[in-house]
Amino acid sequence: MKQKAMIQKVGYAVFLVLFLFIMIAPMLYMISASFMSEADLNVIPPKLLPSAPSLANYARALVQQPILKYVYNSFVITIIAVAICITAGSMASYALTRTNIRFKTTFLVFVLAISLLPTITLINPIFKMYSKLGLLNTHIGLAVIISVLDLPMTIWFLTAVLKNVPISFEESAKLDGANMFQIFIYILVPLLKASIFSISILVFIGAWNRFLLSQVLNQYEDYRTVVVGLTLYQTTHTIPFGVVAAAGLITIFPLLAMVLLFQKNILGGIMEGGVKE
Amino acid sequence: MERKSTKAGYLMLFPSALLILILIVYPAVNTVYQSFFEIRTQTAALGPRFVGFGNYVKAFRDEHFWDTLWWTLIFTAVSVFLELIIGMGLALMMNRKIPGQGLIRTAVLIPWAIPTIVSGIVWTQFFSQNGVINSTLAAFNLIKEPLNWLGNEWLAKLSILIADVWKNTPYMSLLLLSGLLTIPKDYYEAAEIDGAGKIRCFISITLPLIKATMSVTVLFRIISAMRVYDLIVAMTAGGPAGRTETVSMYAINTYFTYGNTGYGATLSVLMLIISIAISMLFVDSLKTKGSV
Amino acid sequence: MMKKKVFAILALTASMTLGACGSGNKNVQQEGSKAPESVTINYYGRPDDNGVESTIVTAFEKEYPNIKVNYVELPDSSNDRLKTINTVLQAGDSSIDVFAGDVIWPPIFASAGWVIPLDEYLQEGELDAYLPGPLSAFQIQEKTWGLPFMADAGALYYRKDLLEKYGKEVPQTWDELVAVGKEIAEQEGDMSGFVSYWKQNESLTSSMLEFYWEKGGEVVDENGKCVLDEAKLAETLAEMRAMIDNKAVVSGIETFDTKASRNVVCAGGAVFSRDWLSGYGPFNSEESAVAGNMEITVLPSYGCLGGWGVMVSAYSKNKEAAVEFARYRANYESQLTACELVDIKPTLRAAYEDQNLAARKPELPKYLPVLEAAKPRPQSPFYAEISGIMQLEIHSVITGMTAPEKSAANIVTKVSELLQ
Repeated sequence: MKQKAMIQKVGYAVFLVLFLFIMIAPMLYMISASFMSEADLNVIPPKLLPSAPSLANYARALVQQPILKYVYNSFVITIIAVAICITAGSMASYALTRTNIRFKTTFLVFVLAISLLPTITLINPIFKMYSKLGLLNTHIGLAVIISVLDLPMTIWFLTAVLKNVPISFEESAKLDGANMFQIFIYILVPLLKASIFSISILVFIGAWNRFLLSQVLNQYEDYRTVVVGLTLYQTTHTIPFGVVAAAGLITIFPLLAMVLLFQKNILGGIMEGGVKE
Repeated sequence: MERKSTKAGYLMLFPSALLILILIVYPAVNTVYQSFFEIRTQTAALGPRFVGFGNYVKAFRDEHFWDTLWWTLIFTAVSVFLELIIGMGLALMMNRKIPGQGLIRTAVLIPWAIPTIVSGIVWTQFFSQNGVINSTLAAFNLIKEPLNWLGNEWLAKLSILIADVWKNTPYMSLLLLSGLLTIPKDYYEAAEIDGAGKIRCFISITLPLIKATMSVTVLFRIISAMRVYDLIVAMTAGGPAGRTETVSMYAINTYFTYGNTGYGATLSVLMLIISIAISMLFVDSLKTKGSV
Repeated sequence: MMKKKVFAILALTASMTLGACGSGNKNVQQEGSKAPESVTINYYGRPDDNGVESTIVTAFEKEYPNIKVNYVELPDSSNDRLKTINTVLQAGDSSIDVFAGDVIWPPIFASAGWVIPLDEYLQEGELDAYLPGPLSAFQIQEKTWGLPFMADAGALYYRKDLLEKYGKEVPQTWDELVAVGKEIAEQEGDMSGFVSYWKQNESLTSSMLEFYWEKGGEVVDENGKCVLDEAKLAETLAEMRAMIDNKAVVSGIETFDTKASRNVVCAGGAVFSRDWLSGYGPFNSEESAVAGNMEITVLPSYGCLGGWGVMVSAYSKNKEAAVEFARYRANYESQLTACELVDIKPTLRAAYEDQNLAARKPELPKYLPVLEAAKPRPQSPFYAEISGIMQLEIHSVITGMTAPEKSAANIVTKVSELLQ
């Protein structure tokens, strides 16, 4: 018995190390590359570790482009987008699962179908619209269109989750005289905390990574997002990977910090929910 | 009470409906309208020319469209399948209290936090002739000569799949995990008392109860897989010989590089129809679980 | 009471108008006011490498204090820039006044009516100062649709030291090049005869055209009709494939982008290379193992013309100001500045005769013969799609997926269909 447990433990440890390594290998390479000089990066066969580590790439990354401003823009736009998406989406899911409106299935199916339209088709019409409304090169303009792109997924996801939540809590609250909105805010939202956090992270990262729309709608430097900014390091056919890696890392750290913060919230439920085996 | 519930319901639905109507439905209608015209930058001075179903006939005859479509569907099916399996495994692991849990949770989120442009470059480096992957394989004596990862049709496709699975498994595992968290622990305890093994628990308790979440997750993952663009452009630019080009790459080229808006609209409408067909398969599975 | 109200309304309106005029970065033209007319134009330029664009913009604003330039940076990649510029111009939007465009864009933009011809704004003889090659890319149907400010062309690079060592002359034909390259490489060991970047993109079409043009083939005639010679095309493709089969080129060339190819050259891995003019700097820089030994010359027959120029949008609300800036961006001072900062190759003949510049950049005269032997890519508004079709088929042949004759036939069929 003891031997089997030992083998299991060792096997598990090996698997864990291997798995972690594969997941973070590209990031390890990025970190290494950010300290390497161009010469190191271009040599054949490619080097894995810098021969003379230096912060030159980081300096260049910060000077060549206002990357920190881009990070700020991305944060503002993404947070607004997530806020809009989650608010509108959760309200819609509630309406679809707890009220007596008609054409629920139709709405769901329609929303799904319309979300299948390739994003490219949005560019020209939205550009024209925003140009007339003066929403080009603003935080709110880009945030709104980005939030709508993930709205169908949010609605579907939260609808699926809400259907599984027993209605008993709400019924007793109704008996106590609470109205629709109060039930929604004080009972359901806390219950759905984990799901809402999960979908928020997904919408957040999706919004953060939106490239085409960000490039076309927010062309001016003051409102540019990070993903577009990263493409501007390339000059005359070559991408200075060391600098791009440094810039990329500068932008990832706030993202990771935020994600780690939320991650505790989503998965905190495991501790309370009891331990399996 | 009934009427109040209905009114409040419509009110709560309103913001989403409005946003979608203005920002998505309008462009959608616009696109469908444009697909019936010949609109090209080269002839912009002459204005749009009505061609009825001409563009659609052209698409049906367009070999490149069918080639890219086929590859897009295969890519989507394989990558989502792999991501589902691995993601489920990860979610199950993260659902238990085991040593290294914190590490796993953190590591899992990294592939996703890295912007696609950057990870695209990294994977290109890894898969290049003298890159890390070839060197590692050679070190373990698994290959004699460096593999032409990005120049050989099948290896290129494999390398793209690997990069994509790496990037998106976190997404899957996170959503599946939140689904797992909604299953009350007592079900498992009761089953254990009755003597059910782990696998039996999984099949009879876990799977049925997360079916809804799983379906939605897989559905939306399929939709975004079909739209993959940045990753492939960074790694192979659609090569070799256009074999890794996806439908969305073809559509984007048609719209922007070739300046053929009318035909680009047609391709987009066709992509829409195909996506709708695939989604219909999933709508059913969601409807079975209780009434909407 | 009435008087007070009227006064209040007037005061309110006045303050609002002043407020609107004061806000920056908008295309506001103060009409009928006593202050000098100040105009803001939007310039969608190249990446601000080493501050080149912002330096030029600042210099322009000093000389023209009434014109403010809002410089918007776009990515280096031609296709990425095209997405943004295309979207704005297609919407007939006035956000772009003047922009930097690739030499292969004028046919598209001119036929779309999105740019204006500059002839009426130019002075007598102003155009003669430009090198004919780069300028021709912007001249369509007797009109000038833009001004070139950066010249580029496909060039042949060779290892001077190796050619001397083996007593070889610089090859005059592609066949000679392949043969000499192979011979030297075999003797030296651990290197290849030729390296370039044959990944599936625009440069691949350029490379193929350079082979095809040696055989006398053409793509389109003056009327834009397809005049592809299928036999010559098949021969070209077969030769490219043969170069790979016979190991006359670096293995993996079909996956190389510019950087990968240059890395091989700098590591001393090739005798010959085909690269743009911008390769000269990296090849002979300090980090290169072959610095000082990599010389530049003309390709057998023609090299592809490359480079960039400024164009003015037809939807601009400030055309005069935009044209002023365009002329400035392409003028002598700006090109000198850019040459100093980022080593671009000027498009003005005078620059190559300037003694001061030659002292600081001794390699400059070497570019002139290459530029004079440069030929623009087929000037059809459908060029982008033609190139797309060709790229796919060429890559298919060099990776061994289709036979040269089949691919040549495909190209001819599809391009004819497109151009009819």
